[in-house]
This record gives sequence, structure tokens and C-alpha cells, in this order.
Amino acid sequence: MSLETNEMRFLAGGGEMGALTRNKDWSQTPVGPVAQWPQLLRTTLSILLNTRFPMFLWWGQELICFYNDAYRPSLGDRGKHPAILGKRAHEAWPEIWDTIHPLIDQVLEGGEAIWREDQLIPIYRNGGMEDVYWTFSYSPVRDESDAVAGVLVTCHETTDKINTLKRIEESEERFRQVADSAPALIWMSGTDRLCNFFNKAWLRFTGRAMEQESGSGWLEGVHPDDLEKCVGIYSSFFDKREAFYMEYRLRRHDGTYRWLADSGAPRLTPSGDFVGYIGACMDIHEQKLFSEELEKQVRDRTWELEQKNAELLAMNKELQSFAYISSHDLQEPLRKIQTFSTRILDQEYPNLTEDGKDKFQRMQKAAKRMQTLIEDLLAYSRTNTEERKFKTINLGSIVEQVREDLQEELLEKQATVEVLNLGEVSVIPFQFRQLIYNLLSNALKFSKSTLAPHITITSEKGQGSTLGPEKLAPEREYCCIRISDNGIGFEQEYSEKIFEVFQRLHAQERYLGTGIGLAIVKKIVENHNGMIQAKGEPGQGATFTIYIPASPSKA
Amino acid sequence: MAKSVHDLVLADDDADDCIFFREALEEIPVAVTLTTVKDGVELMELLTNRKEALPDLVFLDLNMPRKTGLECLTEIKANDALKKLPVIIYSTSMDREMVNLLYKKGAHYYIRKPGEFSKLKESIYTALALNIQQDPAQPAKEQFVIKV
Repeated sequence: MSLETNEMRFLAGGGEMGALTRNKDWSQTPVGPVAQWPQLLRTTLSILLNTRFPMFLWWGQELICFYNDAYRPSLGDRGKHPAILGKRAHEAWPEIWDTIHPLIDQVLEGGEAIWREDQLIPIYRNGGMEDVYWTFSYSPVRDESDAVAGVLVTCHETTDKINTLKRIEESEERFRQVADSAPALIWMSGTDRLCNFFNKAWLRFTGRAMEQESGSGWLEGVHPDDLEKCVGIYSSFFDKREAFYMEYRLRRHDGTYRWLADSGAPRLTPSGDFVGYIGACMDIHEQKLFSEELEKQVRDRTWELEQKNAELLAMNKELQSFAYISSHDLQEPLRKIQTFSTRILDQEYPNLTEDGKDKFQRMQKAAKRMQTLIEDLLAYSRTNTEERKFKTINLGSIVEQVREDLQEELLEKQATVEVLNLGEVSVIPFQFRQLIYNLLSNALKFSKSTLAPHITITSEKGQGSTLGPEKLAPEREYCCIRISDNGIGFEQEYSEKIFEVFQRLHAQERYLGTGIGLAIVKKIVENHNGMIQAKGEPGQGATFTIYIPASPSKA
Repeated sequence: MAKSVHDLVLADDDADDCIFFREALEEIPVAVTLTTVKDGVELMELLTNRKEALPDLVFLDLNMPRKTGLECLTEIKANDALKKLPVIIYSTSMDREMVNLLYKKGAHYYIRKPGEFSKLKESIYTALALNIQQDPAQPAKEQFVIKV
């Protein structure tokens, strides 16, 4: 045993395989007992068992198998280990014998060493056949007579690497398939900004090959007018690693340019490394043209409207100045008629017949009425042309001024004006004075012959929403002024009509008036951005309610 | 009347109004001489030629050909030799803004041409009775429009 142990010294170490090799009864194998092993085998095994690199040896004519600890994991569990140690090659590797036999023969026949990289050689391990990839070299072990005594296999299992590569390839293939089946035009670029992938939809669209489009080739198809913008957006967002959206025209296979919407986003690996960009484009040509057409139409319409508006404004202005000038110029001849008629009456009165005198007086009355009409028309058109300066003044003082103006009429009709809670108002003073004047004289004009006129004027302030009328801005503060009388009133159905120019509800003989007074009132209220309502009942008097903003709008 | 004879000038392109004015003057108890001119250009020529013996008063219509009453007033008040001359506006219109402007430009009174001859006489009489001397102070704004 000491001798044997001594003879085993070359097999010292070598881990599990060293122990297995030492303990095996080699006398029953073709290589015979260890004591008879040639020096070459001993040397080779000594190297094999002690290297950390996976190695395998087929020795002698029978190609007896030896292998080391480093090789051991590749055999897996429930497989060839440790049975194949000392077995003949064709017995150890029946499943791949057809593959490896020719390679072994090649070496045995004195040929060169064999080198294979990532070659698939499926073997039986872990209870079944497994696809195993190897990078390996078969090299001859020559004896002193230069004969090949064995084949030394230096190998490395690359199954994990190959599987990883395959998975990457598969996922890339899956991506390509998805990308190619997508209707969108998809592109990808690397960290160098250059494009390295275009899907089928893109290539079909441009009618160009991947090689033509790759790198910066695709830019050749971008419309010259959009090129600078396109490159600018891409570069600036690429630097910031941010997603972008841009629209540009790309040349289609038929040579026409189509508008595309391109959404790009940075590509990151699961660990967060930036690897480039990916983008998808949609053909938005029709939408773009449609919206451009729409915009153009809107522009055109807006322009037309502006023109029409300007025309209307000009016409309106012309009309107003026409109304003003014509009524102004009408005064001139009318005044002459009046003056001449008074001259004739003064100088020729005794010469006129009674009938002539009567007709003359009627003529003067008609002229007087025309004068009133012209004056009212002038006042009406003046409410448009005059400058509008708002001032905060006391409503009571305006009423007081008007009361003085109407002193004679008030006395004549024995009328009373009752004033309650009149506060400050923000108004165009002389216009508002005219408004109060018109409403008061209206109340006097349409009073009952049997009852002394009594006019009540009140005012209050409040928000639009609490005051009532829907036309008011709910949040805004308004001043509400009410003027009520005990006169003849009117049918409620005329509550709108009475504000129209020349609308009169009564015959001229009974109630004098030009039908302009209330139209002026309405216009003045509108100039104050307010509204007016009239309520009445025949024989029960009338109430006019005015709402004007408590403070003038800034607009 | 403090002064026996008033030397008046009326600038009005309307022949009827000139006749009315002259007839009215004839019927009121004042001694006056009246010169009429048909437009603003004639008025300015007349005033320029009579720098040494300016009229006492000028009655000025507004709406005249060639040179309007407003233009005349502006020229008169801008001319050192003429600006002392009292001007009474004599017009059909009664435009508030125009009235304000004329007062600002330095006119003394404003007579609105009335439709009744008797009122015309009264207006002219009132104006003359105000006894306006050369270079008088402008009356208060409330007195600017002569009401009859």
C-alpha cells in the first residue's frame, strides 16, 4: 500500500476527481493498473487534474475517459458522472458519438488540433438530453515516438452565454416583428444620434432600403423647409434626454411630401442606461390640411367679418352724422318759415279773414311740432356722438335740476314728485339728466286729467343676481332706479314697443309727443351699459325701472 | 343806452337772416349802423382794413362758406390787433359741445336764431343792452347763451 501510495503520488491533489481517479480499480480497465501507466499518461493526468480549466482526456486506443473537477459541473447531476471515468469514449458518449468521433479521428490521425467555438453538442445530464454549447479544442498527446497516445480536450461550456444571446436576439426579433406589423412609422437611434432601425412601414412609406435610411440618410427625405426645425428639435431634446413631438413633411415613395407627427422618447435599459431614442410617426397629412384649411377659412371669415364690421361701423357713423346733420340743417328753413309767418301775422293780421287766421295758426302749430321733432331727433343722435365721461354724482341733485327745468309744467298740473333714498350714481351727467327729464315729462304728459300727477323716484343698490332681471351680470353691483306715476298707464303688451323710435300709443291730439323721448331714454341707459323695463296697466299708472352698473366697466 | 350809436358788423351768408336782422334793428329803439358781410373771408378782410376803427360788436354766424364762424373767431382771438373785439355768435344750431368750444375760444355771447320775429328783436335788444365795451371781460359761463 505504501508503494501504491508512493506510485499514486502523481495523482496527489485534484479534488474530487483526483480522489476518484486514485481510488478507482484501474486493473479492470484497458489502461491497466496505475503502476503500469506510462509516464506520458501520468504527466498529462497530473496537469489535467490540477488545472482549474475544464479538461478531458481520451487515452490510448480505447479512448479511455479522464476529466477534472473543473469539467465536472458540465456533466450535471443524474448523468454520466462519475460513471464515465475509465469508460471507453463511445460508451461514455453514445448520444454524440457521431459528432465527436470524426473530430477525435482527425486528431488521432495526426491532424491538427481542432478548435470549435460555441458549438452545440447536446449531452445527457440532469436526467435528460440537454442542449449544451461548447467552445473547445481537441489536441493530440504525443509520445516519444511521435505517435498520438491520446486526445486532450480543453473546453469551456458557453451554454449560459449563448442562451442569453439567444434571448436578446429573440426579444429583438419580437420587437422587429411588432414594429414591422405596426402601421406607424417607427425608427430607432443609438447614443450617437444616428438612426439604426426603421420598420417596414417606414421603408414602405419612403420606398427606400434600410441601408439608405440608416445613419442620417432618412434626412434626405425631409422637406427642405422643415429640415432645420426637424434636426433642431431632435438634437436639442436628444441632449436633454427628453421626449419630443414634432411635425414635418417626409417624402413618400411617389415623390410627394406628407405631413408626419413624430413622437420620440429616450430608450433606457432596465438598469437605466441611455441607449438612444425610439420614435413613432403618424401620417397626419389629411388632418393637417384639414385644420390648415379650417384655420384659413376661420381667418378668411374673421377678416370678412372685420370688414363687414368696419363697414357697418362706418355706415352707422355716417347714418348718425346724417341724422344729425340733416336734422340740424332742417332747422334752418323751418326757422325761416316760422319767422316769415310771424312777420306776416305781425304786419298783415288785420288783413286776414277769420278762416285765414285759423289756417295760419294751424300752420304755425305744425311748424312748432316739426321744430320739436327735429330737436328730439338731434338729441337722440347726439346720445351716440357725444363724448361719454362718467362721473359719480348724487341722483337727488339731478332730480332737483330736472324739477327746476319742469317747474312750470309741474305747477300747471299741480304735480308732486316724491324722492326716496336717492344715493350716488356713476353716470354721464348731462345724458342722465336728459333721461330723468324725459321720464318725468313723460309721466306728466300721460297723467290723468282728473288726478294730480304724483311721481315717486326711488333707488337701491344690489347684485345683479338679487335684483332680478336675467340680463344682468349676476356678480356685478347695480344701481336700480324706479320711477312710478299714477297716470293713464299702458297695456303691458306694449312694454317693449314704447322704447322704439316714433312709437306712439296715443293720438297726437290727445297727448303731445314725438315718440322719441323714451327711445332716447333707452339709448342713454344702453350707453350706461344698463337696461330699462317698463311696467304698466291701463288706468293704473306706469313704472320705469332702470338698472345701471354701480361703477362703470373698465372696458 | 350809454353810447348813442352802435357800430355793428353781421357776418352771415344767409340773405333772409340778414334781412331779418336788419328789420329787427329797425324796430328796436337804438341807433346803430350795420355792415353785413357774406362769409368769413369777407369778414376778416373788413376787420383787417378797419384795424384803426374796429366795430363795436361782431355778430357771427357759424355755418358759412369759405371760412366758418369758428375759424373767424379763432383768427380774431389769435390776432393782437383784433382780439379785443367782442364777438356774439348768431347761429341756428344749439350744439352743446360747440357752445362750450365757442365759449372757450373767447366768444362773449351766444344768440340762437329764434323762429319768432319778436324773439329775434328781443335777443338783439338784450345783446345791445348789455352795453359791451371794447375788451370787456368774458361773462360767466351761465350767462353765455342769451335766453329770451
